[in-house]
Amino acid sequence: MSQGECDLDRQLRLQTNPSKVEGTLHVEPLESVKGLDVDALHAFLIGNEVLSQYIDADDLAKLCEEVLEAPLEPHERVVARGEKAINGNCVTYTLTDSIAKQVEIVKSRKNAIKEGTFDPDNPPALEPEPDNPTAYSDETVNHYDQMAFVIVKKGDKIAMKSKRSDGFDGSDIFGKVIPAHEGKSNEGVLDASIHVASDGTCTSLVSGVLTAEPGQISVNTELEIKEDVDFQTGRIIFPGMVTVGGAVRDQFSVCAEGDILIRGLVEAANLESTMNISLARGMAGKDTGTITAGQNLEAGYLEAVIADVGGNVSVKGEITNSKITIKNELHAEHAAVRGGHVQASMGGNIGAIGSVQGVETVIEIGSLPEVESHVRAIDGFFERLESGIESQKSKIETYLSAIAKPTASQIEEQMGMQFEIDEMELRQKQLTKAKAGLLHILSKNTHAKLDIHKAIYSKVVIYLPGYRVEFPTELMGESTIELGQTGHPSITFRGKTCALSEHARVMSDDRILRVIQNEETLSEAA
Amino acid sequence: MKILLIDDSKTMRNIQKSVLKQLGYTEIEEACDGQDALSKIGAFNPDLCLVDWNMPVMDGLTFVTTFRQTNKTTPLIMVTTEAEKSRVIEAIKAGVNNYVVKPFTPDLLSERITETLAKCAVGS
Repeated sequence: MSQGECDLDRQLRLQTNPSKVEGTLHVEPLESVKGLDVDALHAFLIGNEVLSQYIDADDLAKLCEEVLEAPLEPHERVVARGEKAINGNCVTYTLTDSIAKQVEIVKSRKNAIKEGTFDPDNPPALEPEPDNPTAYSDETVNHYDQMAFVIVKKGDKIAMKSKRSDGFDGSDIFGKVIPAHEGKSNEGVLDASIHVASDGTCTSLVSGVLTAEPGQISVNTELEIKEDVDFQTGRIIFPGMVTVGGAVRDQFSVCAEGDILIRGLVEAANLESTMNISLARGMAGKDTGTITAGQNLEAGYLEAVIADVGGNVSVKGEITNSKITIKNELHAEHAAVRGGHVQASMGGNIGAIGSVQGVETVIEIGSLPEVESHVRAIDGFFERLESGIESQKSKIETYLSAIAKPTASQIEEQMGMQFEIDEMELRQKQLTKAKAGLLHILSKNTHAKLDIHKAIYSKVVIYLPGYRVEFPTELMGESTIELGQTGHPSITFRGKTCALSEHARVMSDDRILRVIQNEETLSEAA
Repeated sequence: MKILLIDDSKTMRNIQKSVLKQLGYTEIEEACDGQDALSKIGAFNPDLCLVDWNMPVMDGLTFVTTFRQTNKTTPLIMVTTEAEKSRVIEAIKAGVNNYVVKPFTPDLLSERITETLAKCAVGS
């Protein structure tokens, strides 16, 4: 340093930011600027181990210019810039617009309930599902008919997965590497229910309820509702199994393709399952509650319920004032059936029928109404054909007796009449074959036998194939009622088997079709 | 096998159609007289024709004569109430291959069709 020159080492100061990616040069007020130029500033930076490649020549020149213009003032300027590290991208999952919209609506509904701003009489309208629109033509919304869950079907597109990247390392102004953070793969966000295609499309592998929360996207084939099914949950239509911890309130529905288990009381609601339905407590249907089960129904009790069950019905308590149709057996050995109408195709067992007060109770065993209606229709059609054949035959007879030598057109007319007879007889043959098949189905799927463990009270009516049985007075004790080998109703009461007419009024009745098949028709049907 | 039924009576055509269906023939076309039949033959190109004798517009015998001028091979069965021997001979001379007298039973018609087709198959 020559005389008069400024002492740059004293007057200059290099300051870096915490990551040392930027270097700011501070210049103290100078009495003399002799020897101050860009090269001197550059040399200062190099002397402070700043890499040359990170020194910004333009900023350095500007700083120099500013100092020379006003040397008595302090100056500072960023003159060196390193390279910032570029962190890698983490995997993210972005819900599709449609799913995101549904999730948002369900969340806002839940929040409203949580905050107490939810008005059951005017709940927020949910988006109608494509296959179950809830918006009506008059643009009103049935709030009973909405669901507070996002249900997806197998194959539905749920989200898009973004790609992960490693990132790029940076460098501070001194050349020290600043490592980049690698992007996280976030593997645990999806479970096995969702498939990710190579383009990042996330598709549901199952039908079920969607969980879409930070850190978790999954589809569960079982829907568990811990509380009641009411306005908070909306109606339930689910492609798998449904468990309800609480009650199902009036007018709500639970429809499932899997089993339904309800631990609380079911009110006048609608339950539908292609499989089993189990009601731990029971159902008070108020004459409008319905149950449709493809397989079995189990219930604590059934009161004023309309039920159609493809399998067995097991009831522990009572069946009161209900209309129950059972394709298989009724198991109610400890229960009483009081009032209403119970039809069991394969019979069953009941604790008691009717009540001491004499409530009218109807039990039908051994019937399969849908098949019987077809058989009756065939019988009707067969009879009409029979009468048509008879009438056509007598017409031909009259026709022939009136003509001595028929003309060509008369011969053709006669042939036409005979042709009609042939056609009708052919139809009769086809009907006979169809009927044999139906009777075979009836004989295989009906059984007219009922075990009663305690009592049959007065005003009870039991229908058996071909018979109506009335009990004017009560019959206390264990009994078995069935159609005996002779086809007549019999009863085994207190160990003794006799004609049912000895204990009840037995009348012929065609409410249930009486199937009498011989071996020939059975083998034909087979 | 394509069969053309030529008869002015719809009932007769239905009877014949029923018998043919029972025999397994399903490609059946109908014509209500000889003229109608001639107009349909080109497009339908039948393998067998059942022809009534007495029909309006063009009777069966005229149809057979006209048809045989251009087609010598397609089998023709006359199905008619004309039972006299002279009529049968007249029809055969005109070119029919077989003859069924009304009233016929389904079995008889079926027998004659089978017989005619068998004969024509051997002849060709």
